[in-house]
Amino acid sequence: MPIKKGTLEIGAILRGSTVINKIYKGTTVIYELADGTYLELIEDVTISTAVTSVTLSGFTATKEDTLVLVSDFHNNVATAYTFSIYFNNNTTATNYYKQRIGVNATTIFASRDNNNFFADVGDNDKTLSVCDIKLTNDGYITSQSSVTRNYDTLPWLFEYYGTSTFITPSITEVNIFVDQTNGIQTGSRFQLYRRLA
Amino acid sequence: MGLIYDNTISTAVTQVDIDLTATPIEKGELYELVFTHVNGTGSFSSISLYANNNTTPTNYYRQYTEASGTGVSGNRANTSELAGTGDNSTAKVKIYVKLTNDGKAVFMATTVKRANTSSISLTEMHVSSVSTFTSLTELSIVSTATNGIGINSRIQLYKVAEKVDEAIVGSAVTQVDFTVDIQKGNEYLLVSDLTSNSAGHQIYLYANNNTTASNYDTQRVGADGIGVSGTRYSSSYLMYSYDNGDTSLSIAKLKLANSGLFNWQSSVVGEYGDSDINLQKYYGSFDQIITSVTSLSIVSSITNGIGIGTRLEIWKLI
Repeated sequence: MPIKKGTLEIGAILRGSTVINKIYKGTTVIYELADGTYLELIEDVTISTAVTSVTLSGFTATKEDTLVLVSDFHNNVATAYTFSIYFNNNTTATNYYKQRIGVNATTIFASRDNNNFFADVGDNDKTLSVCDIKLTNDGYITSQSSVTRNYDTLPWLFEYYGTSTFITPSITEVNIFVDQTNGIQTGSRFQLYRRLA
Repeated sequence: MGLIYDNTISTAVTQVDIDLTATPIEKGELYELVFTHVNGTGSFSSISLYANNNTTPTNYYRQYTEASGTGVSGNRANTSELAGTGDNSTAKVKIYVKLTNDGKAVFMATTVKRANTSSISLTEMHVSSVSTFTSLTELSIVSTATNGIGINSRIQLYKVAEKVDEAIVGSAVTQVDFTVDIQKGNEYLLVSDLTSNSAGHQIYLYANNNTTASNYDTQRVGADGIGVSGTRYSSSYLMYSYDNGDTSLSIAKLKLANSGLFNWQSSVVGEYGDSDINLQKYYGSFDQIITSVTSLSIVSSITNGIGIGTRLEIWKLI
C-alpha cells in the first residue's frame, strides 16, 4: 500500500516490514487492525530422515519475547525415547534442571533431575508437546512443556518445567536432542512460534 | 491484539497495580499475564493476584497442585495466592486471566518455581473470585514478603487475538456445535465457561461429527483439596460439569498433529467461585486420521446438561 506524504494508513508497511496495527490519540487506541493472528511462525521443520538432533535457528528472541514450540514426535520403532530441549547450543545436560509430573492411568509420579528432558514417547507411538519458552528478565531460560505422551494409543499426561542454570541476553537457537541415535524419526514436526507484541 | 502492558521493576516493591481503566478486561475476552518474578529477599515471596482493588484474600478461593522432587501434593484455601518463589530465586509464571460470563475473575497460573536453582519445582494454581465484576479495571500483584517483587521482575499482559466464534447458551441444551477449519499449521484454543444444569455429569469434545466414544482416549489428573488422582478414559472428556448451577472454566489447546490425529489439552478450574474449587487437566486424542477439523461438538452426557449462561469461545492463535 503506498504511503502519501503526511499520511499514515492502517495496514501500511514501513521500511518493508513494520505494519501499523494501532493508531493512538494521546494514550487512547482509536483504531486497531484485527489481523487475526496472535502467534508468528518462525520455524517449521518436518523430519524426512531420522536424526539425533534438530536445531532451530535463524531468529533472536529477547526478554521481550515468548516462544511457543509445538513438537509432534513420531516413533516408528520398538524403542522408547526421551527428548531434551537445550538453548544456544549449550547442550550440556547438567546446565539445566527440570521438574516433572506424570500420570499414567491412576499412577502419579514426579521427579526433579539435573537435565532438561521435555517429552518422551513409547515404542511405535506418537507424542505431542506444547512448550512455552521464556527468557526471564534476569536471563535464565525457562520452558513449560505440556505433553500428551502416546496420543495415538493410550495417552499419558506429563508436565515438564525446566530451567537453565546459565544466563544469556537472548535465545538464538533451540536444540532438540534424543537419548538414542536417530530417535527423532520420520514424520516428526517442530513448529516454533513467537507471540506477537 | 498483542502486548498491552509491560513493566520492568527497577526498584523492589511489594505491590504492582496494573491500571486497565482505559482498556478494561471484559467478558468474552482472553488475556495472558506473563510474570517473571525475581525475589531478591531472604524470605519466600508468595504472590497473590487481585481484581479491581479487591485485596481481601478471603474473597477468593484457590486450588493448587505441586510437584517438588518426587513429591506430589495439592490443597485448597480461601486465598488468592497463585504463585511464588523462594528466597533469592526466580520464577516464571504464566496466568490466563478471564472474566467469566457470570462475572467472576478467574486466574489459571502455571509456575516454574525456583527457576534458577536445583530446587526447581512445578506448580499449577487456579484462583477464582467470590465477588462478581462487570469488567476488570485493575489487576494487583502483591507479595507476602516486603519488597518481594524484586529488581528485574517483569510483568507483560497480552490480549489474545482472534476470537473466531462463540456461543452463549440462552436455554439449556445437550450439545453445542461449531464449524471450524483447523489445519496442521494452526493453533487454536477452545474456552468453555460452563454452567451446569443438572447433577454432576461429563462434558465431551467430538471432532468432525464423530461421536463414537471408543474413537477417543483421555488421560486426566486432578487435585481436589489435598487429594491428587488420575484416571484414563476410553472416551472424549473435555471437562466435568458439577452440581446444578455450579460453574467451571476450561481452556483447551487444540492441535491437529502431523500424523493427522486431533489432540486437546484442557486445563480446568472446576467449581470456580465457591469453596469447592478444584483443578483438573484432561489431555485427549481422537484416533481417526483426518486432514482437517471441520467441526467441534461440545456434548453433555445428560440431556440439557449445558445450562443457561454457558459461554463457549473458539480462539485462533495462528
